[in-house]
Amino acid sequence: MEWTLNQKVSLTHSESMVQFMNLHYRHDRTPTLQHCRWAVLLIVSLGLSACASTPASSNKPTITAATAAEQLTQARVAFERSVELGFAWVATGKQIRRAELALANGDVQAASAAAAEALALANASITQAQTESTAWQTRGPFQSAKPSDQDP
Amino acid sequence: MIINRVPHCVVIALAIFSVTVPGVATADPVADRQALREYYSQRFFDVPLQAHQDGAYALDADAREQWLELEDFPPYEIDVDEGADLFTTPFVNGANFSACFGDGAIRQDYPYFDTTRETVVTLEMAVNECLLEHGESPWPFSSTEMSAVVGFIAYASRGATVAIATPESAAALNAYEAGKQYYLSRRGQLNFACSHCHIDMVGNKLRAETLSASLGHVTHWPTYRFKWQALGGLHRRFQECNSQVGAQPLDLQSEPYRNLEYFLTYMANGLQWNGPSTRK
Repeated sequence: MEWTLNQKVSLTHSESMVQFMNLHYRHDRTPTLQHCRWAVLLIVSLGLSACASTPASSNKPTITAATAAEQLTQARVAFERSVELGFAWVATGKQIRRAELALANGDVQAASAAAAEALALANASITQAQTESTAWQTRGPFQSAKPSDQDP
Repeated sequence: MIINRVPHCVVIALAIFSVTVPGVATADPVADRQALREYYSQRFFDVPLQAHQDGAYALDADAREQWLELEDFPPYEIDVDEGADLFTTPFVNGANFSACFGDGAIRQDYPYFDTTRETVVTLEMAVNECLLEHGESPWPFSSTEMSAVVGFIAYASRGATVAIATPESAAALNAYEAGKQYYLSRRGQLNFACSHCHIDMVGNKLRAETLSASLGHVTHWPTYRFKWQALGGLHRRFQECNSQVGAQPLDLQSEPYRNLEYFLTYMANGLQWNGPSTRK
């Protein structure tokens, strides 16, 4: 539909507004409220169907006492490694003790969570030890110090 | 070109070795000490270097005033008296600590690097070796007896100058470099090195406390800390520093702590021994 000045003038005010709106929204790529509504409905229905078909617990592996004990062993080994390197963290030991206590009380979920946390902390402290094996040379006012971007 | 004939793997291996091994060749204690003194001189241009033997009290006038008032009736006095008694108490063989330490004014002789044993020997170690030598059982390093005797020795040695021999042998330089590495390495979950507080942020406040300069860190031990309600040694303070940054503390008198003490004492050369003292 092509608009001319004469056609515009010949329309009443309300008609012209309707025409203008139609033209504006049809020619513009902006989605209308109608489009948005359908999109929202589609997303909500997809989300609901996904929740309905996949229970939250179905993807999680089943944690047994043996699994938690294995996680705890891994955490202990990593912690011992960090102790050997001289970079052990207090928090790691605390999490290991928490996991041991939970396992002794039969709370497998809590034991597993604490053991996983302990393993992550121990691995982080080992990474710190590896990084610091050379990074220390960049610090202090000493002549051997090399400039580093990491330190303030 | 000769260098082009050297296999690349050899060049890479040498480069890695030079970076990863605490290099004896790179250790220069004299230059390190000079650099640290220069740093503090520039940072605190109105504080004489000698004043750092009083730790944070060199940097905080109000705290210094309170501390000096405390020193009129110091809380470590009882421990020093007990230490004097223990010093002269006969061992099972009839001798006493005088057989090892004379009149007790020997604080300035420790720590030192024992070239025979290739390890740093601290005063606490020497006290236990003296006990063993005379048929006594050694004391736990955290015992009140150990703190009392070391406190007495520190008191008897007040005014002596810190004068650690410059490490020269390869083993001594390795111990020094290990201490320096410990001091400059980040540790704990908070990821802090000693140097972050005592070099980079020195003089600033950590909560209500002023961060002291490392130059005088070793001079005033053992110290009565109100937090401990007891006289305690330098390594106990190391343990506390480790805990504060979330690092697992090491054993008292462990090798890394003795190396750290060795490094810090060498940095303090020229200051005066002024222990025992009082700290918050």
